[in-house]
Amino acid sequence: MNLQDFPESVKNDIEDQSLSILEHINEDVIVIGGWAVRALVGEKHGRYTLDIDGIAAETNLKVIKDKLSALGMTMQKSEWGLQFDQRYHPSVDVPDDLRKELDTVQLRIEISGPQIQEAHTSHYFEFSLTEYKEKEILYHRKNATVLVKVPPATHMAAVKLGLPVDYKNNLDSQVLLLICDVDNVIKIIRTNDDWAEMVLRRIPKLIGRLQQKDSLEHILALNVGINVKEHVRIMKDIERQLSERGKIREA
Amino acid sequence: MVCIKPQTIRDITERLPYAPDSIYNAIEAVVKDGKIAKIKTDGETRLDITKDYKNQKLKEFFIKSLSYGADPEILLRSHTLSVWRSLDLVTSVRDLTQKTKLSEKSVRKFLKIFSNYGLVHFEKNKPICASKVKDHPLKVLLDSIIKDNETKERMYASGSSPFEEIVTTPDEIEKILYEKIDESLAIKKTGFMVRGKKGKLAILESVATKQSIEDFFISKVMTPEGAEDICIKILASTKMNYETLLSRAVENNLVNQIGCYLDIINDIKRIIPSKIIEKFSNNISNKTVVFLKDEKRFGKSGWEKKYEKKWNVDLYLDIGAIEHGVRSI
Repeated sequence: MNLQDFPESVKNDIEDQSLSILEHINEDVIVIGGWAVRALVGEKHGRYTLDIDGIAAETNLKVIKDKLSALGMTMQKSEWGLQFDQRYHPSVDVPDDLRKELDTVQLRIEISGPQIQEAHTSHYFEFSLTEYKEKEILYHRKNATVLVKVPPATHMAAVKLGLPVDYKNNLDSQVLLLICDVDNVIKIIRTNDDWAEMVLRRIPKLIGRLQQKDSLEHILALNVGINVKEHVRIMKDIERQLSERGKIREA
Repeated sequence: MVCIKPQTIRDITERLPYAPDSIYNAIEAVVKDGKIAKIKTDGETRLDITKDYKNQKLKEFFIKSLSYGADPEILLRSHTLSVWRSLDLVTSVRDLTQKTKLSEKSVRKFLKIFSNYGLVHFEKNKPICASKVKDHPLKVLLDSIIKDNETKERMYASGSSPFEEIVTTPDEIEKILYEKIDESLAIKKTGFMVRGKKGKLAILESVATKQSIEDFFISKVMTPEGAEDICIKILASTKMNYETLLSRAVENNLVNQIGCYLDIINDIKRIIPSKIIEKFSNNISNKTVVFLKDEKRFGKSGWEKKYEKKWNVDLYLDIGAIEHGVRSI
């Protein structure tokens, strides 16, 4: 049994079509999620998510809706905001045995306000709509790039550290911390609601999984060249600094 | 000779009892075939077996055959291999003749060769009924040589994952190790890992027998990454046969955990027929079982009670991570 990505040509076609949609609204949204991490850290990240997640000001939503509807995307309200879908139509040759599976693939863009609410809690992380970086994302199949707005790496690391500890969020936070000033990450966490509580809740599991030699997180970290021992030390330092601050506040 | 140790052409011509011209021609033929490579070390050209899986297996086979007093050249002839391959399916001379399209005389001749080398035994003599000797060291090697490139059971995931997960049998793993040794590779539960400059990380997991999608699901759902990502993708692919899944879950005493998992996923997004969950529910065992032992040390979050009561499980899944996985399908 083999769990694998679609063939390179199909995968690249899907990503290029998603990027092409993004190109229509790149002025209006700040891209977050897997695409933002990829834009910030480059190839090291090694994964795209099929969906593009973005945040936008309330005042931009109408423009975004109009632009995406004009492209034939259907819109529905989701738990997080607005979800736009469009069926993927391959523009490359597709092996016959793949056709059925590709029929179910949807290109998807999800746009929400700047506040990311953590499910099952009252805590949220609020992205800044004015503080962002502009990064180029390359098309695979043509010699062109799309300029996208993404949050600074420190903001992305801060949010990722408080999100559920699955291997994707875990890997994202690891590669982001490599390019961040950790003190700034802590500062961002502290200035966001009580996101520190979410981070403190997640960090023991994050460290636990990373240290477990046979875990997927450990293998992926080694594969992208992360020094696990040093990374755990950084995480423990973040945990210590956030706890101390919490204790002072309580006192 | 070259199978045992790399040799110079001069040594080969001097030591083998054949005419030099015949040796040169034979060398050119095997080099052209890609079975043997010319390697230059310390200013001398030596011949060595090519480092790919198939030829390394052949090398092993040659040495082992000679050690067991068997002629590798006879065993590797296409008709000999054809009879060997058919012995996995049929045992009588008549059936072997039909299957291989060889004459009865030839089939008897090949069976006699196998028998002389201790590779088959005759369960009956009249009529002859032959079967492979399961624990003969040459049997495993011959099997790996005849093994066709089977179509692997595969499942595609949307998006790009930073790794490719392959759960397969030891001989397949061995083959992959040869094929992907220059890429990034890790073998679960062994600590073995190499990083390559190109290609995506392949995480290999060795299992005794070939895995169906249901077996794969059952083994993965007991791991954090399985429960939070891979199993959700499998469920979304609609490739699962739920009846088979239930019977495997019963065999493995995992009905409570898997039923609970399907129930949780369905509460987030309706992708599993409700009657399937009912069927699992009718097979719950009375013994309370831990679901996701690896995560027990991180404790519970407070949402688990409803499912723990219904499915008789002590639950340590991360609901946030599962929701993240479901959102991406």
